[in-house]
Amino acid sequence: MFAKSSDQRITDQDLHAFVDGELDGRRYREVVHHLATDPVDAERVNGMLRQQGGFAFLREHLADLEPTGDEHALELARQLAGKVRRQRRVRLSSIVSALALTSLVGSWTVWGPDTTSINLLNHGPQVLFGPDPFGGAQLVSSDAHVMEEQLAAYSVRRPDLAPHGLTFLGGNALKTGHSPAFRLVYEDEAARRVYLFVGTVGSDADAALTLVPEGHVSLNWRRGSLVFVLIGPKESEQLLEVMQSISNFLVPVPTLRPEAPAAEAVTPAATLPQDASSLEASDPTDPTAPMGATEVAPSALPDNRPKAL
Amino acid sequence: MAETAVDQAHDGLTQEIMSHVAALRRYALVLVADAHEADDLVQECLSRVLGQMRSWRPVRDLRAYLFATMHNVFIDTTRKRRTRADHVPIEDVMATLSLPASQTRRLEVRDLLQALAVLPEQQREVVLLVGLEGMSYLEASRVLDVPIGTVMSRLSRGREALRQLMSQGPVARLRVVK
Repeated sequence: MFAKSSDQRITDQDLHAFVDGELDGRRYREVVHHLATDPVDAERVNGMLRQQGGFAFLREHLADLEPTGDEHALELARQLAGKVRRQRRVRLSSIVSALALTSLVGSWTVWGPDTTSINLLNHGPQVLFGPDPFGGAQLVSSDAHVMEEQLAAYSVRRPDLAPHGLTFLGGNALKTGHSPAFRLVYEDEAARRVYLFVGTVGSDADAALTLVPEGHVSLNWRRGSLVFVLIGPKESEQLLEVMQSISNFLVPVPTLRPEAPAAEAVTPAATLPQDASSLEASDPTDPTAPMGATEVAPSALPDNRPKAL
Repeated sequence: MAETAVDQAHDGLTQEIMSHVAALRRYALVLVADAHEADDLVQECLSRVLGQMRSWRPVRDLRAYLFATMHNVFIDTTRKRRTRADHVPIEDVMATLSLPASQTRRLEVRDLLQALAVLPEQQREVVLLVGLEGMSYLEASRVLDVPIGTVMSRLSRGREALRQLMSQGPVARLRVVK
């Protein structure tokens, strides 16, 4: 790439270009000849090559952390993108959501279990989504398609709880439960952590075993096939508000009218409702409608799900 | 029919973008030395790119385009961060990387990461694009929207700074004000 006349002296940038393979054949030979006669520059190039070796080593081990091993999250995102895309009015938003979900779940899976933060988080509360562990129920199949089907009607966004003074710390996908789930972790202004678990349940698996540290409370609610567990310090006065905010970030995708397929085909993509106020008037009996306070009250949950220990 | 063609084009583009996500994460992670911040960078980058899908015009080099978007997001984020002046422990990134037991290599990489973290951002970006991502000078110049000569000079200064920092031994307990 960088051809220079042979009478030019070898410059510092020639050495870098040599290391990076950016020299053409003639200049390359000139640099090789120069290095054979100049031990100082030869040592400099060796140093650059050692740096390159360090980068190669770093790249190699970061490659081990790439999401190729987490086919579940990738496949989930692909299927989610594909299914929701068929609803043309929300096609664009769906693709963004799918890839955001890939980043959300996939990257946390990639980095999550090995990071200092997540290692610390692993000492926090744990939630196991799946069949009632005390009921002896048959395990249900809960592969990617379960979550994919259950999330297909939603546009998932990471809840921004900054208005409640909660800073997002991180999250990861959970692989230990029987159902797909992921965990988000926030921290309040007093450096106290608030944990949000989102999981799916099957038709005969509707319990979430919740282990809560001393001094914390667990708020549990279910919406359709999704189970939420919010765990925070018992002194926190705004967990119910946080709960409602979380609901606003799981926005139901508007269903298309089946009687008007022709209009659907030509309807340009529309944006999803972005705030809860646009959904307040929806049918309260609709399971996908946003939750009101009465719907999410923990006391409204059946005694047998989820269980908090 | 037209819709199907558009869908297929979007499918192809989405797949192609996803094939670069891992490299974007890797670059972001080492660039900002913070897994969560890197995650935010990647998400914002993807959001920006995918937000333009409806009016998408083919680009010559999608990888360079994605990294250029990442660079812009990083610049925007850096401006905001400067006003916050958060203190981020640089040691955290080592915990993020699950490196094998080769102690010598591990120490070398630790020193490399610590030295990278104290490089000026402009030099760090060039060093990472060329060194970590294996980009050519031309690709790096497109990503950063600077002349090739600027890439070369930043690379030269960055590597020299890295060499000096690493020759001083471990930068123990170094913290960077971001």
